[in-house]
Amino acid sequence: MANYLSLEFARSGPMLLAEARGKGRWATAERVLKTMKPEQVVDEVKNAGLRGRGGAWFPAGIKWSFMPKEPKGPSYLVINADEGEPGTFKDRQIMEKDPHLLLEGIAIACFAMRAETCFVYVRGEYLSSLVALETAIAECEQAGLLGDDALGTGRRVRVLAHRGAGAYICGEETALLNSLEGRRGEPRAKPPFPAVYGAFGRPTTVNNVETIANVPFILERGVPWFRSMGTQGAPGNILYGVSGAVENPGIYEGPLGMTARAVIDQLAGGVKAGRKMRAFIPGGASTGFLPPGKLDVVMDPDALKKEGTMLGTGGIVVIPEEVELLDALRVLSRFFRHETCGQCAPCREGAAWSDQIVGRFQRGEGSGDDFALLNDIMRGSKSRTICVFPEAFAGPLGSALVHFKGDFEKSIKPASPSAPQGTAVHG
Amino acid sequence: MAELTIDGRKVEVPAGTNVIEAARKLAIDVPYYCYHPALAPVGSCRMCQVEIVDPGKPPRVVIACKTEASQGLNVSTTGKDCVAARAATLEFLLANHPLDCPICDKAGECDLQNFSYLHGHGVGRFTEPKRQLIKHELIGDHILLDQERCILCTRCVRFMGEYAKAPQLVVAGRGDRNVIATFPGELMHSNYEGNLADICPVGALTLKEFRFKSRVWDLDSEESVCTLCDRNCSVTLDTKRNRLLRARPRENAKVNGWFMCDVGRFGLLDHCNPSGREESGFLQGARVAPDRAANALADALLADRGRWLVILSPRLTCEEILLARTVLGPLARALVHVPVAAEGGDAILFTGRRAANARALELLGIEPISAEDLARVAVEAATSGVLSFDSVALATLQGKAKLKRAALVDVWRRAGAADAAAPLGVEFFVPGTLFTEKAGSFVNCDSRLQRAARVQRPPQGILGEAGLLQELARRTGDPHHAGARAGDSMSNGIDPTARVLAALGQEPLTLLQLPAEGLDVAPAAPVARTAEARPA
Amino acid sequence: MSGASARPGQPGEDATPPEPLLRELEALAARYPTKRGGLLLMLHRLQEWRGWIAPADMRRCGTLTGISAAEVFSVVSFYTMFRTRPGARFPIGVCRNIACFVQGSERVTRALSEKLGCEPGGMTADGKFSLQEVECLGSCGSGPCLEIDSRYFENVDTDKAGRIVDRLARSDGDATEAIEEAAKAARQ
Repeated sequence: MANYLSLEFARSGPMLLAEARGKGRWATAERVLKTMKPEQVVDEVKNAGLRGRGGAWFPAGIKWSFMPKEPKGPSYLVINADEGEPGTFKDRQIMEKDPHLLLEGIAIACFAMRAETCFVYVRGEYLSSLVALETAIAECEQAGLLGDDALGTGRRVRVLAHRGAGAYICGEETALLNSLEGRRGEPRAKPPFPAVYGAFGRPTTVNNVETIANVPFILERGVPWFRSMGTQGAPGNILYGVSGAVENPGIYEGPLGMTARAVIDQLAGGVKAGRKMRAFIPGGASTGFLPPGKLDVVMDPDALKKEGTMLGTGGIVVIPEEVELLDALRVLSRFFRHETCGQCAPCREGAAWSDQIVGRFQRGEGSGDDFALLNDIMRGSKSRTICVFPEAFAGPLGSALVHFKGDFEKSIKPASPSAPQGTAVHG
Repeated sequence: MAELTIDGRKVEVPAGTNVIEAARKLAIDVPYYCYHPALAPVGSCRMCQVEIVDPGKPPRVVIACKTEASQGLNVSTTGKDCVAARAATLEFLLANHPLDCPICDKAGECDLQNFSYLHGHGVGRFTEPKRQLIKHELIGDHILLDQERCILCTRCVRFMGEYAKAPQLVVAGRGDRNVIATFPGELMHSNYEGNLADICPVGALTLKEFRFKSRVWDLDSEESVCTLCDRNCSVTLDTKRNRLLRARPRENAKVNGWFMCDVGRFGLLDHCNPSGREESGFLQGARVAPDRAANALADALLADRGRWLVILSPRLTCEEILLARTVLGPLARALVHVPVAAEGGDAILFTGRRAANARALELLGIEPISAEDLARVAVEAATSGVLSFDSVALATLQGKAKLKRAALVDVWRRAGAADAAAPLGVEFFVPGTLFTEKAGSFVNCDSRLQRAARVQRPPQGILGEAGLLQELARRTGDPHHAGARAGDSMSNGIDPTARVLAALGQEPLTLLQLPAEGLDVAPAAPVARTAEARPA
Repeated sequence: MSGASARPGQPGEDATPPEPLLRELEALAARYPTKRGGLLLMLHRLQEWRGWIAPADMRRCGTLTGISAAEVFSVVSFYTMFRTRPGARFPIGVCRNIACFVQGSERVTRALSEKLGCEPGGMTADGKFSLQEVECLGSCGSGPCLEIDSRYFENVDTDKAGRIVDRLARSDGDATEAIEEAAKAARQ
């Protein structure tokens, strides 16, 4: 059976501990904590090639290896359950249906990194996920799976569920750490990296929910099994999200490396009957828009990077023809304007300014000079800020300008005498 | 140490120095807003962007404030990428900035104006509606906030939290709704608010006391010290038409760092522009010209040698103290001062001891005396009168003892128009001078001597403390002081400051030769007191 | 503005949190490696009780976490979920982001706006309902989605939205219970 992550997703509520154990949850964690060394676990995860499923696709095993081998004081694991990327709703399924899968993965990861405490940062709106998680944690503490003597190994593994309060930027790992500490969710400059200075100033690793959910299976079934699925550069299965104008929107597990077309047609029932696709988003809002001609792109992080976009969270959104591209773009530019933390001038002003310009195009009041201006806004802010938020807001904007320039051109206000005389002013 | 190259020039700095400071050593000014040497770096303004040049690789744009100087680092501040990056930052900052320059106090000393001129590309393309926010709202005892002008560098927030230890200013909102604010409905209260107007790079935080008073380029600026406590923070005094309009801290790593307290900053405004100042002299109850009162007082002192008790003031300059010791020492029964206790000082700059030159009085050997002992000695048979340069000490003394004769030489402020009698009812009153009306030096609580420039002219006819002392010197035939005038920096070729330094056992520099950060004049050996120094 | 007066079923601006809630807040300050770590959960608990976060709540959190009231205000003002003015009994948030938009969320918002008689961003005169457009709720596969106090209502069309409002309008007990009942009914 090829799928392993989503076997419980059809349930109406979370799988409780007794049933979970019956299905094998926690058995691997017990074996790992009792018979393996932390370094062996890190190596296993490294060799498996597990890449972070939160959007950045950074190799998890390598991230884990940055943690101190002889910590002088606490180290922390923090789970990023902020899931704010529009089009993304996969981590929710794990927390609400199979929370013990996540908790088991956490126990193994903590062991591997010599962390005794894990904070699960759940976005504030995900009340159902938070409740399911807290119930599962309580069950584990009662059963001795978590606590000062986790699984009877004499090791301490504690999990604390934490709640965000409505800020997309808190999905950025350092902003998440600030938010966890009771601060504004503003990203921190790197270096120092979280493995050196993280939560509460301690060495910390931040991992996505889905990434950790893969860990028990890797340790149970081994590296060759994991590498037999997916692609060379990105092994394993992924929880594809498909939403928008499709027959059966939802979360679908599949191997990395399917084409976008295959995901939409084979997993989600194809474009909604009687509708035509205008554009699709491959991996969540910040990955931007692609035209239907690009449906054969391969859903793999490296392949999509070559296409000038990203795999991101693998959340595909299908935009039908009834929706104007500029209207779809405006939804996202308004979103990014609302969500920029505002620390850095280029992003704070750039996200707002570009939203204002898109709004003008939406009203048919664009200007020919705006193209150079929009490109300068993106170029003046990408790689020029504390975090990669400008890269995010430039995703939809930049891709729209590349693939759907006609939509802008037909929205230029005829003969605007007061339009600013501008050519590209940045080198 | 690390040696790095900036714009082709080599410089060596301690390891860990950031590139902004390293460049400063080469007199290369990397522009910045959010960075401040007194505060932890943030890296949010993106103004200090420079390039790292690695051979064979494309240049990398980085922020200088968070880039540490390392051995062999090669930095360019003129590469086209970082030039473009800085110009972009300015275009972003100017997008929503209200063009208030014509009505903004900061004009002429504004880093947004300066950097736009130096690093911007001169074309603004923002044509959307600008943000409209709070303008000129009082948010503390002295500070007006204009949220529209604010560029959100957060220096003010970090200053209040990290330096003033009063985290009452914060960023509120998110994204392009960010504003600087206090807790809703509350004002800031801190002894360090005034510094916010200095560290704000733009006109978002300004002083209500300075609002619309002057364009900064119309001010005359001079180096001086604050005399409201014995920290003697280095300051710059800004005057216009003989009025002190603004006092700002001057950077001095040895005294006050970059800041000063509000007791001093706003106290100086009041101190140097004294309302109700008495400009006449008084002689036996009658209003007379100041020099007539001074002459009569000199007559009385000389007629009654050895019988007048003299109280010196911690507000006198070192030069005046030394002149008094030289001239009055032999004439008076005793030369004393009443030490002032420290009250209400904070652990930051304000010492709470309202006696600017107290240390100089000690170092120059003026005998300290308690208020009680003074009250006893003042009415002894051997004392025929008290001459005080310190109106506060005299008033206290009069409350404890009935003096036979009294003379006051000090600045005096009338409480009201109806008050027309001689100050403190003394027989002789000679109006004194403010420290800004004479060139002189002060020694602070850490024994650091600093110069205070002359920045104001005293009212016509007032020769003050020095005038009286010069007159006495002339009459007692002291060759070192004959022919000299009040506030004169040269006297028979021997500079009064050099004389002070010699008396303190230091190299005799003139006032103008003093280094900008002042001089450490802590004594190597115990100081001889006037009581012992007086000739038998 | 009379906004600070008690909404139906909610404590007034001057009400002090009850003892058990105060104990909870203290426990939260001890739960994390720093006292400040407890701040977000404290704010959530206070908002659940009062319906919004009043100045006194911010001061209290400042004392409990060792930071100034202004710093608490700074944190509160950053996060979309925290209200600094009295909220409605049923604060409705309709997702306006891309997947829900494509599936017709604007129609749902318009229908609710007409039915309630208030614009997005506003509140009904009786304080029972407020309407707001919110960003992605993570229900992209089951949109349009709306939330009321973080209870999700998925696959909402204009009819379903109307039915949800009708059901809630009829309720008069505890608001949270009413929302949860409505959510359960909506799932069937």
